[in-house]
Amino acid sequence: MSFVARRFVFYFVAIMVAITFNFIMPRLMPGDPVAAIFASAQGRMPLETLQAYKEMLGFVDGPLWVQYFRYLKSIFTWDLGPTIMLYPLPVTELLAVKVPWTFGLAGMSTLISVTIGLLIGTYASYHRGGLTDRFMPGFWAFVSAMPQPVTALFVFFLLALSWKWFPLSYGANPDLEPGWTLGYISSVLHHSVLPILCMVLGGIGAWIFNMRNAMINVLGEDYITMAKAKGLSNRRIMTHYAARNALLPVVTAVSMQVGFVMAGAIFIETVFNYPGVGLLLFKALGARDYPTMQACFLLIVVFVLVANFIADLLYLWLDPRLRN
Amino acid sequence: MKKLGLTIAVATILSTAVLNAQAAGTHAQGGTLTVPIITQTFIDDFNPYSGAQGDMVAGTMFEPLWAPNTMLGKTNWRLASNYSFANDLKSMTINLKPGLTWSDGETLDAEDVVFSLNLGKEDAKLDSTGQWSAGKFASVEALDATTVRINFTTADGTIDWHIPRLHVVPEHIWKDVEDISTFKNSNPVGSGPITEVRQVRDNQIEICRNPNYYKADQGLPYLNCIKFRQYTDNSQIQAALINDEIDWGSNFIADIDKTYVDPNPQNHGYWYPANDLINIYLNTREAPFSDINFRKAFSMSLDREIIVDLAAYGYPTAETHVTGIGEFFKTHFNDDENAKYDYLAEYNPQAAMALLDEAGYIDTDGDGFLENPDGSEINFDIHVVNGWTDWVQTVQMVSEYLAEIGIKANTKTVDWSVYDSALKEGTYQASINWSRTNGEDPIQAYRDYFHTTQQGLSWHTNHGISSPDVDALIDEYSATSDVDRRKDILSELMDFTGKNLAFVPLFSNPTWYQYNATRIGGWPSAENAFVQPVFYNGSNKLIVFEQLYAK
Repeated sequence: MSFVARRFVFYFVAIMVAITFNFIMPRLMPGDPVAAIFASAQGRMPLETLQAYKEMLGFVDGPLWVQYFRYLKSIFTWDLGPTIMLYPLPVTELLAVKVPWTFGLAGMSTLISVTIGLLIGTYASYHRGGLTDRFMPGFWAFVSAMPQPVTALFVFFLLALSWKWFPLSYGANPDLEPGWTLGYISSVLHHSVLPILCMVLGGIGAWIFNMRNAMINVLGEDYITMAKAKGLSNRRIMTHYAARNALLPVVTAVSMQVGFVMAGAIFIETVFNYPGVGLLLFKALGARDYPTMQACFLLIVVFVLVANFIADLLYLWLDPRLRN
Repeated sequence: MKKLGLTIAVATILSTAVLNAQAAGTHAQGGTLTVPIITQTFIDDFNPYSGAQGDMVAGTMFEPLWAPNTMLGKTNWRLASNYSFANDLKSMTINLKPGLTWSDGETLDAEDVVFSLNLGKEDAKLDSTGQWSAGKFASVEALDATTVRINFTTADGTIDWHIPRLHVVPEHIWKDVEDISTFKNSNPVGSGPITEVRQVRDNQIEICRNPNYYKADQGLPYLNCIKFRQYTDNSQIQAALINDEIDWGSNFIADIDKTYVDPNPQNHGYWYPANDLINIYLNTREAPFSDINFRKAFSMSLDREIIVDLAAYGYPTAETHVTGIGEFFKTHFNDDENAKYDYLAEYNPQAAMALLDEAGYIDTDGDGFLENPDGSEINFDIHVVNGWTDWVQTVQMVSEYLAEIGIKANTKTVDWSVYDSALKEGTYQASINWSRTNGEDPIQAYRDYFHTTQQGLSWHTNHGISSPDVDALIDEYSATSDVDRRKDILSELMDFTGKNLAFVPLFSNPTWYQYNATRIGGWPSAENAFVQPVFYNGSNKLIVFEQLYAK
């Protein structure tokens, strides 16, 4: 399994580079978090509080390289320090509350958009020139090309604020006790409809296009003609001969897409006040909350790398040539 | 025990105003108030000193000793029934109401207050009054079960302003806490109207009636509970207000009449009383601002009403005086002093141009803009923080008004850190900033404007105008308890401010406040202006909450 070993080394290097960037970038931004907290108070905060804040948040000690090693150590021990926005709440505790929501949104929406996208893409390419092929890819490309904040605001305004079909904010009704009860679960589902809808609208066009184009290439291959000559059913050729081979480039695209889904989550969660990592990251940036920001970036990097790793494993399964 | 019996004039005046008397009638108990909090998530933290949710529990869970009501210029007595300064102003005595208890039934007495005051002595982070850090407090002692004496290091008759910020916490519980600055206080024991935590979820906290509240015999509080709802920004709060999901907003809402009031004019309302005064500070160390005539012309060239309407939706209150304190401190105005200088706050471009012409400002190079009397070019920047959109628009309009009288000024948006240090170090040319209102008394605003000890510390002092006489006046104000003398000092300071015009006042910021009377009644409003309706201030929040009832 030297393929897997090689990939592991690659992922280790990639993650080291990413966390180093993660350390440097917020420190290149002008201003410091305490000044930002102070600025956002617009003068309501007495001057004496400033120094107290600095001491409280540990922003006074050590040269950069000491801070760097302390940072590495904290990452590998999963001790990411207290947040600034909600001092003294630890970052890891905050993330533990937020991650499941984003995981649910990103997972569900990717699943839905990949499934629908692949089905439409496969069908459209197999029946080239048909009604589906002429109408669907163009329409969904148009929908997906709209910037996600615009889609999200439009959906929010129409379905939540004006028609009141769906709630304005939160992951679930705050008046319900969280738990595995029918009422709570249906409330969670009700609250997730609009964010998931926005994510699907943003992603689906790419899947249809990717799959359709990959399929068209594959459909020109000799083995498809061969399969037809053998007299196999259309459905069997479509799924077992064409789609399986067309999936290879699509799998790569899916794994790369995880990063984009996270970027989309920032806008969508902000519009719907959905309690996930995207919204947290957005607010942490505004407050220059370095510990929280770094943890969110780290999490996204890990997300993307894990998705890539899963893609590698899927390759092994889909493409027998890689197994030696 | 010799001097304690003598209650000084200030305290006498303050004690005549017991606000409780204004409650028109009583209301039935019951109902829940829903208020928005901007945060990422709620946690089970009820420590009033905590940065996370301290603001949320101040006042309603931990009652102040008394609550200053600047709008009426009166004191609302809470845990204390009165206080008095010693004759030499080197100590003050606070008398607690008899029979106070904590929400767990334990007695609340002078020892609790002494314990709470002393927290700040050992740890600056817990110094909520700021008087230990400032070196003002010498020691604190309990004279008997309901009497506390604070001894000062020097004579000072203004320390009473800082006491309402004290969080009085239960000694019998907090004395065993190892590190109070990180203590979560998850099962709080308090003294305010709501102390019993019913639920803590990441998007909602519900806190209900204190079973041992000292005003329970008056039927207070009328409401049973407060539900705090988590939001992350203004736009969500706006949507929730429109949808009747929350009752009390303290946030900017764009085009409020159309988006909020019109859909339900009977119950949706807002009231934006004046808060801190916004000024453009001028660095008088350099030309052209070194010339008082130029500064006067600057002030007269501005149509403040139009600026308020166009740059800030008309929500702020345009300033009509130049004597340093705005509407917020109107109970302290000296009308004679104001009248002397009010012409400087009136829009009068002709007078401004005439004044400049007379002082020798002429367009010598024919570019349409005036030059200094010595022939050098006039071209200055007005600083404003990047992203503070209403102020950026304000400064742009100021620049346009200046251009109309032939003065070239540029709007310069800068990062906070640049803005901050330029103001403090006096390296700006002109810069827009607020003024100090976090105190009960305008002397703090004047201290901030002029006292030389504030140079380098405050944003408002380094404009180049100061005087030993003014320093002495400000110091004397704190050291006297004579009300008439204080009035005289304020008048002199108003005169000094108007005469020197180190800053050009524009408008008073609004206090953002929206109410929803669908379920809850008793709200303060322009017609029922009984308090400055600030949610993020324990005292004001408490005074408002006490009047609210379920419809």
